[in-house]
Amino acid sequence: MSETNNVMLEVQDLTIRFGGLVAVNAVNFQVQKGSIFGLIGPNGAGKTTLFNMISGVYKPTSGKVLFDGQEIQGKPAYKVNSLGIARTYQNINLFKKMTVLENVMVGCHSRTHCGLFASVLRTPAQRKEEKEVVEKCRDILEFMDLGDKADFLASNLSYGEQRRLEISRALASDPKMILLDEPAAGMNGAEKEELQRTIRKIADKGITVLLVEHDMKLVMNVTHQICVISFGKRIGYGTPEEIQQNPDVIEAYLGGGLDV
Amino acid sequence: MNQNTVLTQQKGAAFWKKNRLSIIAIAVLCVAAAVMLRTRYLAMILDFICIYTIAVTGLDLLFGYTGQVSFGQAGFYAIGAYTSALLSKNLGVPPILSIFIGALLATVFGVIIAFPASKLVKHFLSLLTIAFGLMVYTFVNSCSALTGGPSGITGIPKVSIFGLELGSYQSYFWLVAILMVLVLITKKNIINSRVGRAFIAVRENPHAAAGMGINVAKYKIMAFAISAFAAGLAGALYAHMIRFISPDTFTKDQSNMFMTMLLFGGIATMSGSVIGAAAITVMTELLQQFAAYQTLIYAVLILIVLFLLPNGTVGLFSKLKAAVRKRGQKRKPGKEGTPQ
Repeated sequence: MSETNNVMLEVQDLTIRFGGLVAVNAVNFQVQKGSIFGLIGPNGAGKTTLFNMISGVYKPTSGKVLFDGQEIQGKPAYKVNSLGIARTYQNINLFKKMTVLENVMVGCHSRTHCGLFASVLRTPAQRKEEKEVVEKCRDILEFMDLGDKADFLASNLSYGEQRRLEISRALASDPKMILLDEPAAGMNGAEKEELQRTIRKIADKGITVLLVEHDMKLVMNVTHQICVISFGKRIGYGTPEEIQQNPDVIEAYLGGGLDV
Repeated sequence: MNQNTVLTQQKGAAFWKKNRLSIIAIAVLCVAAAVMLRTRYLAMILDFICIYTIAVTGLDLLFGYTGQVSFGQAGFYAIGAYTSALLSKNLGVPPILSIFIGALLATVFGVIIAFPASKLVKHFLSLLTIAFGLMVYTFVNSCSALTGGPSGITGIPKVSIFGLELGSYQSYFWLVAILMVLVLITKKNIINSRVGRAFIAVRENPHAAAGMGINVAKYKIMAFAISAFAAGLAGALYAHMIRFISPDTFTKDQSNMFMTMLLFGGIATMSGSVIGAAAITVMTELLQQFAAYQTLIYAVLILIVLFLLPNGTVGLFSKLKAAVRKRGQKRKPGKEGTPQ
């Protein structure tokens, strides 16, 4: 197998400008298939902006995003999802008035097909698909330890549970790669430990993980490779050990933020 | 076999327990309808309730479920009414067919409006739909050659099915009631499907919906089309019931009435559109001597709903139900606590 075949995501010279502000400036990195990749940087570095370009929310000014060998930059978010990239959001974006189960069922959208007429007529194919979707979503909720909360309204879950539901919903689209945007934000120590196990479990399923995170301990523990950006530019790239030795990175984090 | 019977009985009991309120409500409604059908005037009110329920159900899928506001439903209502009236009167198309052609033409306009509308939110969307309603009104009012202008169209043919002429309000009831039930079943099937979940997802959080693979614009357009179909169908049914239409019926007041019915009954519920349509129709009839103040009355009703009953009348019912259940639960521990 050649090296390129092992690359799940390749970001080439990705740049975006908002007016005069260059939010992300010519960033390059490669994410290997099946790996856990960390994207870190100080506040306002452009991590979420980068995420939004990969997931189709923003159109980059220039540069390329190659997903499984295919150019996806500038494609609308719903197409990016159907190609196999699922994501979670930094500021939880659940469907609050739907139940936990329904939230995950929405996640199956791009992997199911029944349209308006099949739904109105409740065709046998539609009923079968609905049944399969419910079963699949219950399995995902079990996997994410939310099985007993299936019929709760999403807004009634605790903060940590809402974060887990975001991941469940993303998993429902059978992604090849999952983008986790600060999944540990607001979590306590025990919840973070749990999250770490969950991320490993997801990677064990063969899903590539791209992680944006502030919690250094979590990132250093769980990732295989890290890209550090600061003020929209890449300042470090390598394994967790290499990143911890990198003087530029240490300086960006005010010389000491990397204590593990 | 014995076990089977017991099982069936248990199933029946469970079904009854789960749906008893709906079953009782439907039974009461049937009795009320049977009584009302004996009087021509009351039968007319029933017909109106069914027709308005169809239009309001469509609006609920658009506004209640997909979160896209429309103050221009009278435009689709007018397109359905005029299309069916003109086709059946001038070209001899059987009304039972022209009604559906009217609804389909309204759907086409719904899709056309939805393309720009799907890019707008909140007050911009309101303005666009108000403008659409005004455009249709202005067209039917001024294009005398086609629509008869301000004097409207008279002598619209009666509907007949298999040679059976539905000339009276009583016989017409069966047509509108069956179509209303079909529309309500359609709504129920849609909201409990992948499409319905996509609608609700778009309402709840369009960004997350797109992130989950939902083509937000496509589903907004679909919701507009469905609501336009329902309003067009209602309009065509109205035209063949009254057998006279004029632009006066299709002003923005009609759009506002649909919205009032929906808000009063309760958005995003199954029974809300029926309750809203029935309550506002009856209220409008009772307050006919104050017809000049109709818009004012609607405005007050909407304010009452927005401030006191955010979930409409249906919300009030479920609050009452919850309160009764709570009382029941409070009583129970007391019983268990008594010494045996």
